[in-house]
Order: sequence, then structure tokens, then C-alpha cells
Amino acid sequence: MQSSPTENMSLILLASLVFLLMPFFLLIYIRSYNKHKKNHIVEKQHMQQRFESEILKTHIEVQEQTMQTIATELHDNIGQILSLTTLTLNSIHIPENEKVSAKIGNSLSLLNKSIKEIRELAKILHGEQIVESGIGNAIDQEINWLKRVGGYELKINNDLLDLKVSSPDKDLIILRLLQEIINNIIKHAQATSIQIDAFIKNEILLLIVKENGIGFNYEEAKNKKAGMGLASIHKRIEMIKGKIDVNSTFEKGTSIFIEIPYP
Amino acid sequence: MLDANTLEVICLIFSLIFLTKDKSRFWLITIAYLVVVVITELFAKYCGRTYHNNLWVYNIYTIFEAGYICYGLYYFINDYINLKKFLIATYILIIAIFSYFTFRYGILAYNAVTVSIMSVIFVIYTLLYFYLLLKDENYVDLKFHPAFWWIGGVLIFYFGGTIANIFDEIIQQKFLGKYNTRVIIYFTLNLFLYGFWSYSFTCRARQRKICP
Repeated sequence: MQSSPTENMSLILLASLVFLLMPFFLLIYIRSYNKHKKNHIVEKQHMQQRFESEILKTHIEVQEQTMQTIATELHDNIGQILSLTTLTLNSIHIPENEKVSAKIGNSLSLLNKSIKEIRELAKILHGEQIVESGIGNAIDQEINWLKRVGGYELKINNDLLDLKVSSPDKDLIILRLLQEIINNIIKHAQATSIQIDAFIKNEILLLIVKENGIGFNYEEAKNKKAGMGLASIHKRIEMIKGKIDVNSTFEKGTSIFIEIPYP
Repeated sequence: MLDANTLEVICLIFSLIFLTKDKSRFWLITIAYLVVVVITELFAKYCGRTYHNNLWVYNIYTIFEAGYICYGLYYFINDYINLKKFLIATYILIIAIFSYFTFRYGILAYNAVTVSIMSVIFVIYTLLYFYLLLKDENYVDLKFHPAFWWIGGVLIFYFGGTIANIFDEIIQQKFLGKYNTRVIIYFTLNLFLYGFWSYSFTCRARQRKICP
């Protein structure tokens, strides 16, 4: 039995249509697979970020714990020993020997100074205790410490002292951020003037630190893996979903703008 | 009426708009190739009317077509693996088959065997490209990826044209007494080929704008 030319032609057209559709389905499949690949990559990145965040959190917790232990030791142990030494020295009575008396007097004043310094240091190390009285007070204490260090012209505008709301976890991280920034200024900036502004606007805590030091290459410093430096500041900010903007000019100084959703 | 030649002219216009500023040799060659396509089509029409045979024009055009597609495949597959030697060998093979059948049946007979073999080879290379694309760990947004659309067009054209190439003699007859099956099939294939290529040119221009 022979098929007619019209039937043959219909079959060829149909087969051509099938052959035309097949690449289409293949292209659709490739695009769909590609979308899955994208989702997989995004998921992998999220997992990596979560992992890094967890590691950092643990790192900060351990660091905080260590500092608290040192603070407690300084306050309760070394502080007590020094106080006892002061008492002992006070109890010595040598009125006839002026030289010895003067030396003991000097020693006592040095000891008192040491006790005071250790208490202050213990306070700073014991972050959790400081932030209990609010982030405004914690920043104030940090600034007081900076004043005692001396050598800087300070311009302070701390509007967080009368803050009604608080967020203990964020407060501790904000305090440590400020400490890290101040330490960096003392260590590297060679600045003579520091300006610190802290305030809240539309549920965003803004912390602005400006100094007139030697400046630095921000991108280069950010990518340095060694130490806690800027990379650590960035990760801490990421952890509390904040933003940081650093503008640095050689020989003119650096301005750091930090925005953190608060509370 | 919209015919295959109009599609080619539209595609050439797209290439002139989106590719003239391109610095890549392949995209500039694309413009030259489309000029060849349009000239071939016009000259074939003229020959058809004047000498009642224009198959020799299409036969000669096959050499340019094979060369351009081989170069395009090399250009895009080169992102993953270097197939320069294979594609040069492929081109030489196509030319050898073309020469053999031309000497045997003459230039006036349509060289359907060469076109069929060429189509199968190109389909294999396009599938290889898609395999490498899927295997690659890096993500690319295919919606704006010129290579994906250019090769997609090639795959549809050569894979879809397989049946038409095999039954080339049969489809030259009229369907239902009035429709030229060959024209219908090739118009559809050209529509997708030049449609996909035109879109790939816009993607290329976009890519150039984003990463100059």
C-alpha cells in the first residue's frame, strides 16, 4: 500500500515540527537548570555567611568571657592584694625617720593610683557590666578613659545618655566597636583631635568618629586577614545588621560613620 | 509579505545597530557574514528569475556559512575548552565533502548531503556547548547571555532542519496543491535563527555596556 504525497508531506511537516520543538524544550530545560544552579549558589553563600557569623559570635563570646575573667581577677584578686598592701603600709609608724616616711608615702600614693587604674581597667574589660547602665553611659565611660589617656583635643556629642530603650547584645557590640576604633586611632592614626558623635534618628543609632590623623588606605586595610582590625569591625557590624562607611584621606584624617538599627 | 530575506535584512539591521561599536572580531565578522547572507539571498532571487536556477548560489554560500558557524562555535566554546584544532578539522572535512559532491553532481545540483552532515556536526557542537555550560560551576544569567541565544538559534536551525535536509527532494513539491513545504519549513527555521541572533546582539550590546 502506497501513501499519497499529501500524507508524506504531512508526516514530514509533523516530524519537522517535532524536531523544531525538541531544541526548544532543551533550551527551556537548560534555563530551568541554570536557575536551580543560581539558587544553589545563593544557598551556599548564605550557609557560608551563617557559618562565618557563628564563628565570629563564638569568638566574641570567648573574648568577652576572657576579658570578664581578667576583670574579675584584677578587681577581686590583685585589687585586694594591693588594698591589703596599702593597709599594711599605712599601719607602719616611723615618725622619727622622715626619709622612710616619705618613701612609704610615695609608695602609698603609687599603690592608690594603681588600685584606681586597675578598677577602671576592670570596668572597661567587664563590658556587660558597663552596658547594664545603658549604651550612653558606656560610651561616656570610654570617653572618660580617653580623656585620662590625654593628648587629644576631644569634641564629644553623646545624645545617648538619656536613652529610654536598650538592647544589651547590641550595646556590648557597639561598645567593643568604639573601643576598637579608639584603640586603632591611638595605635596608628597619630591624630591630635578626635570628634565623637552618638545619637539616634528614626530607630537608627548613629556613631560618628572623626580624627585628623595620617589617614590610611581603607580597601587595603579591610582586606588584611591578620589581627582583629577593620575586618573584625565589619563582621561585628554585619552581625547586628548595621552599616559602616569609612572615608580616609592621607595626611587629613579619617571619618567613620556607623549606622545600626536600634533597639 | 514577510519572507526569509526580510528576516535576514532585519537581523542585519540589528547587527548594525548593536554590533558596529564592538571590538570583538567575532561580532564584527557577524556583521560581514549577514551582509553576505543578504547579498546571497538577493543574488539568488535574481538568478532564479533570470536563469531559473539559483542552487549554485546557495552551494557557494554553504562555504561561508560553514566557516562562520565553525568560528562562532570556536569563539563560544573557547570559554570552557579550546577546540580550535577540532573546528579547523571540521571545516576542512565539510569543504572536502562539499568538493566531492560538487565534482560528482555539479555545482548546479543542491548539495543537500553536505548540508545534512554539516547540520549534524553543528548540532553535536552546540550540545557540547550546553553540556559545558551546565557543568560549569560559575553562574551566568542566561536571559542576557549572548552566547546562549546565538548557539540556541544555531541548534534550533540545524536540528529543526534535519528532516528538511533528508527529504529535500520531496519537500520541494507543493503541499495541498498550493503551499511550498520547503518555504514553510525554512521560513520558520530562519525566523527562529535570526530572531535568536538579533536578541543575542542586544544582549551583547548590554554586556558591552556593563563590562566595557
